[in-house]
Amino acid sequence: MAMDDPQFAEKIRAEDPEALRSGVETYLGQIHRTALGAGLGPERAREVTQATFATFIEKAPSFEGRSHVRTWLFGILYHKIREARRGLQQERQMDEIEDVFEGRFDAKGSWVRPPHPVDLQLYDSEIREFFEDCLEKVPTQQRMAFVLREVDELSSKEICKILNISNTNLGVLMYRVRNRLRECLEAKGVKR
Amino acid sequence: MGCCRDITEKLASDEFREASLWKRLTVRFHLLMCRHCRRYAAQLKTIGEIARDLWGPQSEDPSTLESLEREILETTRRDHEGGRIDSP
Repeated sequence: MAMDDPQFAEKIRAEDPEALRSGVETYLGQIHRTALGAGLGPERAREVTQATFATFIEKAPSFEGRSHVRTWLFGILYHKIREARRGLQQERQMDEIEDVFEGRFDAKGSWVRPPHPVDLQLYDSEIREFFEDCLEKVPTQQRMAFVLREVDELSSKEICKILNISNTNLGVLMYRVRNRLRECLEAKGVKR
Repeated sequence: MGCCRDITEKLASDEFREASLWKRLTVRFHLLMCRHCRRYAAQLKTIGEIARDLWGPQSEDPSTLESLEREILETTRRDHEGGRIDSP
């Protein structure tokens, strides 16, 4: 049965064991990989995945079916990830990355410090290591937006629902996380 | 036409993904002419590719997933057997 079928939502609400099982089977991999992408590490990613599905099953009777089952599941996951990462970083209103990036342009908006030609090779193991290092310092919400977009390839609309933010807000998060990553990778590349 | 700062801002914030054809063409046209922005755009693209490579579907270890699935489904079954005394 298709996951976006209204009957499926109905069965989830009725705690139909087969429907719950197929919900777990369909989304387990994606949820687990997203938890890893959020930077939890293997142990905690496992715990958070289990906790997410435990809540999914426990709260099934209250699933309203207004959103897709996947959106709902990812919402639960996001909540758990926030809890797991609480206190790790402060979410800031102003972000220094904006000043850093602004500083690359002149008053007319032309490049003063254009992007350095860093050779970002996809399968370069050093680049991959740098990548994880660079993501380490990114606030949870930015990191989640990035993973939901780039790894899970969800639509803006769905990501906004999951993170409970506006579309404009999502744009700001993406802008910050991508520039932060790019600046960080560039800085590491230049040092080599 | 936008300046480089506007173009990079649009690229980074995904603004042109769901924008009108005209807006997307404006960005395309700028990239054709500006090698700095082209490099910037290419780097953003690679950043996405690295993320997909690290955490995309092919990164999953089947045995980890299998054991995780077993644990979750076992918990479900237990809950359902223990929790529903009045079910037939």
